[in-house]
Amino acid sequence: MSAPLLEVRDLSMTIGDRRRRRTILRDVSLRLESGRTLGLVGESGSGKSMTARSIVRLLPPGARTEGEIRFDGASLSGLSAGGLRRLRAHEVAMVFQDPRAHVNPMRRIGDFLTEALVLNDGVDGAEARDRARSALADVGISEPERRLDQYPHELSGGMLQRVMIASALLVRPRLLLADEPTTALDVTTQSEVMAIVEELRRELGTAMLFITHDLELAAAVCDELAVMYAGEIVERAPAAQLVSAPRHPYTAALLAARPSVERRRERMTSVGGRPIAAYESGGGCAFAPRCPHAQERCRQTQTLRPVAGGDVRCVRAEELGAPAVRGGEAVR
Amino acid sequence: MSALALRRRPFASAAEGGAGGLRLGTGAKAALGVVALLALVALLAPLIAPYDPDQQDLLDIHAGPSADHLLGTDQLGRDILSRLIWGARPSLAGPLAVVLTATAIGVPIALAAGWWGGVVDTAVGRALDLLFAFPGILLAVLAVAMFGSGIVPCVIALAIAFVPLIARVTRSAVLGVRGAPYIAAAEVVGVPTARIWLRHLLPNIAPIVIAQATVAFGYALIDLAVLSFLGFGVQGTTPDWGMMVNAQQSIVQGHPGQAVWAGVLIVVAVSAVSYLGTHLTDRHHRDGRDA
Amino acid sequence: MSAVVAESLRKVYDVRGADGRSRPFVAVAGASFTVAPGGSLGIVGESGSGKTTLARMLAGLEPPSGGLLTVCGRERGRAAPGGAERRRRARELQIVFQDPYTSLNPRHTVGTCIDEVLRVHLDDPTRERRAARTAELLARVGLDERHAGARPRALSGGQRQRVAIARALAASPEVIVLDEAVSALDVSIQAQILDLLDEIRAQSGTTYLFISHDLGVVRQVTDDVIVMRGGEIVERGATAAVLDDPQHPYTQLLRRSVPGPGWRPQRRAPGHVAATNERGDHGWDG
Repeated sequence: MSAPLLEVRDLSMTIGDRRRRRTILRDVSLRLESGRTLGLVGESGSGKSMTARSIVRLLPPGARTEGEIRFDGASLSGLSAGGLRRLRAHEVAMVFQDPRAHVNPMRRIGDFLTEALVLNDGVDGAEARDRARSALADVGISEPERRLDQYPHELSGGMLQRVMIASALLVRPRLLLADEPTTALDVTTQSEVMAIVEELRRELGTAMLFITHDLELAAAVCDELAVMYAGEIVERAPAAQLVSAPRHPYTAALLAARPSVERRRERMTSVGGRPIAAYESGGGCAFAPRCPHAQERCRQTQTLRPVAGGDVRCVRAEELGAPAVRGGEAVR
Repeated sequence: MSALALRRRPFASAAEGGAGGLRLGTGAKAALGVVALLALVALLAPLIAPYDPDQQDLLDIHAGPSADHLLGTDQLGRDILSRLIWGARPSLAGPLAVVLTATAIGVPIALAAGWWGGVVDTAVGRALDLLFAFPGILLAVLAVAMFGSGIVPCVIALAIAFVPLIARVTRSAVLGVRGAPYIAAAEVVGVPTARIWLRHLLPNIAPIVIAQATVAFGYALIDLAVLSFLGFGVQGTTPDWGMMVNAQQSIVQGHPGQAVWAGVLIVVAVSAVSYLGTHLTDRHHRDGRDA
Repeated sequence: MSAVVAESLRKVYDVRGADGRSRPFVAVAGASFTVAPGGSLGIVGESGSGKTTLARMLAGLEPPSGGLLTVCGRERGRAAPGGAERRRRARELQIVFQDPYTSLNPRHTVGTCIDEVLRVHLDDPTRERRAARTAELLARVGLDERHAGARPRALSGGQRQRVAIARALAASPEVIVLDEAVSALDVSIQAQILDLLDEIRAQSGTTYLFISHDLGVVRQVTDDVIVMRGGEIVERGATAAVLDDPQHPYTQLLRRSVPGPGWRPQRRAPGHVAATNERGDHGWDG
């Protein structure tokens, strides 16, 4: 079996300074095969964004990581500055939640798009512009020639995000890291943008790590899902299986917490409390304080183990079965 | 009733800067220490100065440093150290008066301009633009020409010239806070406008205004020193650092002692205050919303 | 008597274009609706729909350019009210904003925040009564007395939003406008706040105007809904009816765009629904 495109093994991360260190990630492991999609889902403090950023080493100052990240079989930790630049320029592209924060407002869209091509690949200016124009058309932007000469502030949020996606895919990356790319967009725009990403991704054979808090969205666009809580992966399974038959109580709670467009519920909450970060949890299961099924043995350190076609970090996974999420709720 | 799991983390205390938000790094603490020391020297001058600053001793002029006179004597035999100590009073009080006056005038008009916008803002803006065109020293020289030399005309003239410096920054800060939802919430709740200004607006713009005021203090110190140097400011025999820098005869005769020391003190005072001011401004910008 | 009546509410701004000339921009064009006391109306729309402008007009933060707005039977005209009138209106309608991080004064403790409202609105606002009522309100929104001494920076987003709700309740309003009040919260916290809002309405009969882009939230919290697009109301009705069987193409598009079981992202069909009020010339409107 060939090596997966991306392999993360026992990734741990702390941030802080001399005075105080806080754990953000705890032994995170995942694999992504070439051309496939993995959704990383979680709430605040889950560590999902930090996991993605470690892959391209976009970390805050004072961050320290342990563990191994391999891209196409080669370890990333020994990468020189030049190697990292090459990785970011050709292999791995990242799209962020807020496009305006990641683009220079003083430069035109065309310059932004062609810059990487001209500098890194030595592509001639006119051809780079051609490619940029067709990339804009691919992401559904009308009048692409005119847009090339516009400035970021002249485009709406949705348009700018499409530009970012165009820019990411222009380098034909093997892996696309999408960190909440549609969270700031209208839901109709979100649907459109995700459809475009899906189309282009398939065409180019790009794998994708999709970070989001929206479990339903992730299930619709990813092959596999990994749910994170307090800096750990608590469940991983094929997408359809995870949302129809979640095995970890947190996954079930997350699914249950989403109000449905189809009907009203008597009561929304299944759990109280709030999502915590890794450094706020004691030993044992981080979710135990909020879990309706917690027992004494949940205080022990939990391991991610295979259960029914996926991996679950819960000692009670087998006996709890898969809580049915959609059926059986009181309708008002 | 929905229950909420109690938080385990302690709430941020005032010591952590949770309250007033004036957190200082080591550099700023040192600067604050210097400023405090100078202020203390000025206040305690009668107690710590070894001699009366006006006490002349014509038999012992231009004496070098000795056990009796740690920094020597000037052209009239007066103890330089004592004159420097006593000189701290006008040298520091003057800029303080300038800044307090400029703030007392500038902040209210900036609040009005920022809060109501429209015509008020335009009118205030034009007036400030006009004022900003006049360098402080020029205005002070004009004042002296009209009312005669002395520290009072200089202070008033400088205060007026510095109003735009304070007002512009205050106005920006007001505009920044004005749009915040918590201000809107206070309005919708029905809190009287004056109270919103006092309890919501001022506390949140205070750090930036204070920062700007400390920077202005530095400028005022220099401007007043220059005015004294030119002979427009402090009159008579009262010692003042600016004046001491202008001890022409002593310098020409090869005794630059008092000029050098006075100059050093001016530089130290301005640097410390400016450092404090820019540090506070930076802190405020970095803290952003949570300041 | 209806809690809220809006008749042909309009809001027009003067916008300076790139050519330097001033053009009118219609943010809200003739919105009319009523809300019965104790009812809950959802106002659904995406960016540029005018829903936020509508919320601000309801709260009195923006004077309408035209039309009529009546709350609790009393008209809210265009003239800026004086202090006494502002206080009266505050007892009729309060607002909870979207961003828990900027809707509270960072320098005030939770207790001070609520106390300030009580000073204005509590009958006989002695210190003891204010303190007692503060404790009551905090408990009402699921916070502990201990939180009264905390500043916003020490609280989580969900807790801050609870404080914002407590502040709104402190004025004992008939109507509460919730402007995307749960949009910035984590999913599990959002669920808690939705339950809280339900409870409050069930217990005190408060009327809600719930502005949101999230159809699931709207389904959960509202009885009726109006859908806005480009400053106009394109569809209205009982929430269940509108969401189960949308009539207007835009509402249908919205409904189709919500991720759920069996959903797949779709590109919009060419010749999509054009708004009458496209801001700028974005072609496909973002």
